Amino acid sequence: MMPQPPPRKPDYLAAFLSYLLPGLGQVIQGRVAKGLLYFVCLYGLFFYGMWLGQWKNVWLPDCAQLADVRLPILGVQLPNTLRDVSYRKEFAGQFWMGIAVWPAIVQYHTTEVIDQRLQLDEKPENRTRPTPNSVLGRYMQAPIEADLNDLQRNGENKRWDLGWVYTVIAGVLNILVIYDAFAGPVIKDDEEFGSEKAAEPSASGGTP
Amino acid sequence: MMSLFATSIYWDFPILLIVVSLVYSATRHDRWDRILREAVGWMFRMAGFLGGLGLVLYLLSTHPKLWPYAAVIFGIGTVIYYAMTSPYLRKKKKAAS
Repeated sequence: MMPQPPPRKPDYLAAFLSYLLPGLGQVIQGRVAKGLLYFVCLYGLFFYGMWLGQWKNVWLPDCAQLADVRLPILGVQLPNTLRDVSYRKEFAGQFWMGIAVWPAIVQYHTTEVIDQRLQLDEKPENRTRPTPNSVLGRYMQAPIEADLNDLQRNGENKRWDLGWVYTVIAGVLNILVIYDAFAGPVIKDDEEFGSEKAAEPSASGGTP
Repeated sequence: MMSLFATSIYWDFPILLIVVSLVYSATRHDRWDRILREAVGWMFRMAGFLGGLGLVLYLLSTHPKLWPYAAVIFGIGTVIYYAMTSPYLRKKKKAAS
């Protein structure tokens, strides 16, 4: 029977760093190439998805004006932020991309709520939109419903819809990356068990 | 058949297959030879499954009356595909030999 490697020490710092920037936790653990692979792959997929979605698919809306979102779920009235995430469920997956989606959180907290019902029948040039953020502009600001309807109706080959799927997949994959930084790879027979290298703890106290 | 490839949405899938298989494999192993080997395996498995599904759906949309044939072909294809790629069956075969 093969001897089992010793359990690895959970590395909370590396996990947090990998949440902030995919692969950063692996880099500080000394697994630089793997960290770079995660960074390039996940940022590549995330921003490719944003590009497909015309940079308008990562956002969290304030649903205070939408009456149907205020309905209780299973008899429980959700707090405001959970209510808004329940309306825009994609953000629950995108959130795990870390710093890359923080502009959406800033926009969520700073954008004023406008009554969107009046905008639906207006032409694009006559619609009233929220004020752009002084630093971020409209980057990751929740688009108004009328603009979203236009994007979905006039988009080419459903690529706009495919874009948010890519950003969500990138975010969900980063959960695996965070776990890799936290506890090492799933299959632990990779390391040369019994050698001096495997017995030595890493500099950050985490996985070698 | 031309319109299947002319639809640009299909050209966006390779990047998804490459990233998902590479990142998933890298979270399972630390050794690069194993990461790459598993990533290539996952890439082919996903491409085969999605490609087969896409082909069947395309045939159904262009030749709706052929749906019973398409269903049988897809079923047989799935069984053959599973038999060829399943790690469980491969291990059993190896143990037998």
